[in-house]
Amino acid sequence: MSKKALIEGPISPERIAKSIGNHSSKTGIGAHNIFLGQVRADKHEGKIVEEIEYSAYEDMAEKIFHEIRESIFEKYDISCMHIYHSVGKVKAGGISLFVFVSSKHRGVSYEASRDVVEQIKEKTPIWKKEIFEGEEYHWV
Amino acid sequence: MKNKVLFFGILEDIVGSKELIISESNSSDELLKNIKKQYPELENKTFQIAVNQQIINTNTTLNDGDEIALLPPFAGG
Repeated sequence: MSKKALIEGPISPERIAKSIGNHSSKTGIGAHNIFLGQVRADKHEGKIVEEIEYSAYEDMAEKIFHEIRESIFEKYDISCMHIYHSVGKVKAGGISLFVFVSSKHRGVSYEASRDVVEQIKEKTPIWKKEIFEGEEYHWV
Repeated sequence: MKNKVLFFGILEDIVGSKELIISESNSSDELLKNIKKQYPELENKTFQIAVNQQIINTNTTLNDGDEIALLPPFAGG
């Protein structure tokens, strides 16, 4: 199985930059498509979300990420792909999902990237708790 | 016969624990009935059931040591 997709806490911009840099030796790639999910400071009944705490059925989630990966490689002519998703707390404005799809030409990278994100939303056992000021919370 | 049952999201709050050990339930329906008897609030909640990380859609025979998980609607991303 590939390396873990679940990361404790927010996904740092440095990690994203490093991940882009890691592809410079793969010169058959002509297009990278990156999707980033960011925590929104939504408002519920006058209270503002300060952070989200993600929890996961971790073993199953890693298995599903692996299956999504396999299905995407089977369906699209892509060169490589990576998925990272936060568990634990991420403050509003922090990055909680990083999907990175690379291919020879751009068209397929858009399609594959969207497909990955939709499959993650639909199939991965991850939950989020919106935490307001004063530690009140709400399950999404 | 013993099975570990995992609870996630709002279900963990209702049960007050991440996991329970449930004994003497031979099928997923029976197990669910036993859990709901103990935690009636689960009756009004939407969730899927996974046995050994596989989501099941019908009543399933359980074996000793199977891991059962109650999964509320997913909210990743």
